[in-house]
Amino acid sequence: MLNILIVCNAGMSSGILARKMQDSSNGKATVKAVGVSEYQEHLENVDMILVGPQIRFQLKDIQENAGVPATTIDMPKYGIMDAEGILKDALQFHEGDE
Amino acid sequence: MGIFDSFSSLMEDKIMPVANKVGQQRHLASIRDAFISLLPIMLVGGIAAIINSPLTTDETTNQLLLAWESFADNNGAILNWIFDFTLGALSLYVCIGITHFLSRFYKINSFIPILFSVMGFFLLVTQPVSGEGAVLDYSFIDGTGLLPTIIIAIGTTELYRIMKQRNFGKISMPSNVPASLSDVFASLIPGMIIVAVFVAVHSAFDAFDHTLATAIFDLLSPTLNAADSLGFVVTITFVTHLFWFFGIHDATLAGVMGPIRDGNLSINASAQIAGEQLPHIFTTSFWTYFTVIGGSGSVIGLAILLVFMTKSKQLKTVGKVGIVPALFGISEPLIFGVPLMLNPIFLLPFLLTSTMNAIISYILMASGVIGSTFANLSWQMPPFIGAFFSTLDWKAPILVILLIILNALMYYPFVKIYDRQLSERENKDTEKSKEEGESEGS
Repeated sequence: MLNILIVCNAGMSSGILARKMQDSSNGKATVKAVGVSEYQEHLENVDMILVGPQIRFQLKDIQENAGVPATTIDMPKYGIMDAEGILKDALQFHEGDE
Repeated sequence: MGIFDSFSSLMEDKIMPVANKVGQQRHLASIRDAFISLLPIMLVGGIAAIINSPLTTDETTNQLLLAWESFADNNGAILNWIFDFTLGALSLYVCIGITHFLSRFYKINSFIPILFSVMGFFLLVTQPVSGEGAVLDYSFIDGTGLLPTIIIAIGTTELYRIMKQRNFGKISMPSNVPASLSDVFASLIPGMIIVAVFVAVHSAFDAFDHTLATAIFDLLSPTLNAADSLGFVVTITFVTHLFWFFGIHDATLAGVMGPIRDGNLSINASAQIAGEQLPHIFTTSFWTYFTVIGGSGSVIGLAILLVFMTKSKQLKTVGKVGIVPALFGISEPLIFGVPLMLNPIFLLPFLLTSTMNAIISYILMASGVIGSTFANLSWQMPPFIGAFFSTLDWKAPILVILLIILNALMYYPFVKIYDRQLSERENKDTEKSKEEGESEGS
């Protein structure tokens, strides 16, 4: 079970994405979306962080502060809410990390 | 390298890091977070103001409207009372919010800083009234007192934080005293110093028959009026979208914009409750319902075009995915999916649609054709509904629908060009894959 935390500006549009990703993961992952102002309170048990494209310039900051591997979400995939594609990218990133 | 490329590399290299710093700056970030978190307060206050403004005239015969009027008449006092301590006390809650979020940034428990901030707020923003009856003039606790409030909240938290970090005035307790109790003792001397500062500031202004709040208000009212002018509104709309175009989210500017927008909203709501003319045009509701219709880039009109007028599969898909979020003010799917961001074809319409909306709405409100805004029902409310309830003017939703049509017309030529490019590419790709399939088959 992979616990993914999506961090974006307010957790609104990424909230839609998070639900879709969780549904398409067939129980292999839990996905939660939060705003960047509060993400540090949600780090418990999180395996990796996906940073929304609207705050991609904060990636470095989040990588330094979170202590959890973090990467950005592909912009076109975010745009069409391609949950499966993003999940696949995330799994790949996670495996590459280990 | 084209002009566009050199300009976008300038934005990436020079402006992005600055915007990033501004967005992360701890004081601005805590102001932003405080305003975002006050939604419940603003919502309840807005609803009280709406209920207290029945849409009736002397000629009204509609039973429902008359029932609304009699409800408002019978409950006016309690509605006013609710309003006074929600949206009408915006500064008080901002004071608590900023202190809390700034303390959290410093990883110190926010409870004691909040106590001192609120104390400073009452000492410096309200004032005693001499004479019988009234004992407290609290007319500055709505949006009018926001600036002194921000100064008090940040000043108190910083002062407390510095003394705490340096263990200044810390009274050490024996180790068997509970931690919470020794915390309280540790804050005794810092607390007294903070109170002394408040008293000194109060006395200094009192000597000139002022409070901190009235002095700042008198000093800054020309600036505050300028922040409500057409020129300012156009500039800030344009700059916000220019930033967004280069991928800098508009929340980066929220630490500066929040106090202006929400402050004006609170002042307008107080005027509405008092039955006076609304003094401001540029409010949170003006921004969310009349300027960025469907989120940054005013994308509702664009989403309709994408769904119904495009041949490209990609654009149609993006339109279908993005149209519902856009109705609720979320434009990210369209901004990233089309994409609008960093896409030179859409630079002009992306910058100009919201700016045009702001200009038209501003002029219509300034000339009194459309009512100004005095309530906000959260930015996720579909704009035509939000426009009606924030103004209680039936012409407002009509204006919003006309603006959506105008935005669609502005996007139209650019969507056509882009659609032709994409569908040609898509056709080529399918032909190519067909040919490949055939050659493999032979």
